[in-house]
Amino acid sequence: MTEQNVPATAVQPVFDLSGAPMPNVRTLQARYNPFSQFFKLVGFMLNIMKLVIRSGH
Amino acid sequence: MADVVILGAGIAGHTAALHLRRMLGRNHTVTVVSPNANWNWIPSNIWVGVGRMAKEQVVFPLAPIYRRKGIQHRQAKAVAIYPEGDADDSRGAVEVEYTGQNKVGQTEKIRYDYLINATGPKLKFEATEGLGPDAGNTVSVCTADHAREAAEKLAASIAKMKDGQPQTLVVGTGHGTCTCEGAAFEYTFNVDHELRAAGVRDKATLYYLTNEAALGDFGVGGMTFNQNGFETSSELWTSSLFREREVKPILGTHPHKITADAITYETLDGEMHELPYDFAMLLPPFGGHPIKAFNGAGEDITDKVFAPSGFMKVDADYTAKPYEEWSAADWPQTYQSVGYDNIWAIGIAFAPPHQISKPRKTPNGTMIAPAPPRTGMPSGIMAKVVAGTIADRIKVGPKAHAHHASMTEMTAVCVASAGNGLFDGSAAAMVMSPVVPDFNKYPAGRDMKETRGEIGLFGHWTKYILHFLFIYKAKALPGWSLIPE
Repeated sequence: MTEQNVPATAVQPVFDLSGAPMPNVRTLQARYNPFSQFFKLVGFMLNIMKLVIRSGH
Repeated sequence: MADVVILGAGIAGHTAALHLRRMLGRNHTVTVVSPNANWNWIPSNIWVGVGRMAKEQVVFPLAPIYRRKGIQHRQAKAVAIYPEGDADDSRGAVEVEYTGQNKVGQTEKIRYDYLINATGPKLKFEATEGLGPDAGNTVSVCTADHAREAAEKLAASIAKMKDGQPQTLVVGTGHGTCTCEGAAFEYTFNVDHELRAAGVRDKATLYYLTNEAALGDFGVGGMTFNQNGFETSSELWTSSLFREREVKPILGTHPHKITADAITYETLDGEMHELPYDFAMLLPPFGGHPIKAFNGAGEDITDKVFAPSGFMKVDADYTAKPYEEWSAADWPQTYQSVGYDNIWAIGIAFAPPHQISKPRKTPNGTMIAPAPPRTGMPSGIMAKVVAGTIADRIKVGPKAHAHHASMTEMTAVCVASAGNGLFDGSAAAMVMSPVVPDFNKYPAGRDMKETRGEIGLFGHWTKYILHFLFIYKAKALPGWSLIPE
């Protein structure tokens, strides 16, 4: 069978996401809290610097 | 005196040029051959593509930088290399064809002692019928101009939604062998963010059409993260984001044909589907630029120097073997060309030895195999490492030890935007160590203490800071070399 003779269907095989965890309200609020996010930014930047220094790049 | 020629002025080529100029005295020449007059910070094209940034904020002209730094610049494309020289000169040479500098179409042979191939990808829109912004029906964010056009079409689609017309938007990969799924991921969630900001999300059906067999694969076989003290997978993590944002993922796809209003694609089970759409941003597959190679006798040795994909063969193990048998040791360490110790290929330009994600075939024989990403931080690191090797060979001698930077040992930081906004933006910030998993060293393929990922506003701030930091660096402003790759 080749691609040309396989009839196309209009049904979209969308991946089932019903088992994926939904973030709760508290998690969503925390993701946009400027104060806690500022400390995450500092932590992430320090982590990058640590990796850069260790790798020498 | 030595002459170093660099093909390409993207992240890899431009980084290599700046470091070489810094490392070498002015008695040596550094020449960059690039068909483009501008440098483009490609990661921010995503924001140009949704209208949050102007093209001018992500590009700048190369000529003033190169003039200031003493780097020679040819606005031209390489068409052939002569690694063994020719009848006139035994030194290697590159034949270039000008695309600017008032010499369009003229050719020139440039002699070199050391050559870096950093030509980046050829965007192969022609691989899928109807793909692409020029001869096709879809938009792209691969270049700043493409992204600007994407923003205009997205704005038109949003305007229709504001008039009450429902729209179907599709973002993803336009071929089964695409790479850079991360860019498609970013654009999907930036589009979602813009739709919400415009108050029309309920009028849109947003699909993510990808060649990945699983969400969160990103062409690197997915990741296992440490998150808040627990192990989680990139699949679970990204699935959660897709569910939260109500984006419909369609996995393991290969688009065959794209008309003005429908995408015909095949899935891993061999079924064909037709997806009607109003707006589509689909990335093209990448190939190497069509550069020929000739030996000293003038015989064509292109297939010796380049892989069939057009990417240059380097110090990797290209032995054909089943996916299950590949190992971290197959990946290149020095990026030195096969057979020529004064040529290197870095960034997208080097031929990877195999896929990182498992390649799959549909029952119809269609290959659906995400290609390994070699952009961003890894390409910058390769550039610096190869520049160091060349500088040592020039200053110490031809026996100088080659610098190493295998992607199987390299840590990379990836910040994938999920929406632009100072207080309502977000991004997935990931650290991957190493980029190419090493299952002999780590049971999960990667170092669980280093590999992590988290989404939040801080991720957007990080990407925004990196935007300015890397443009500052690329402009070679004071202290640029202190900024890591």
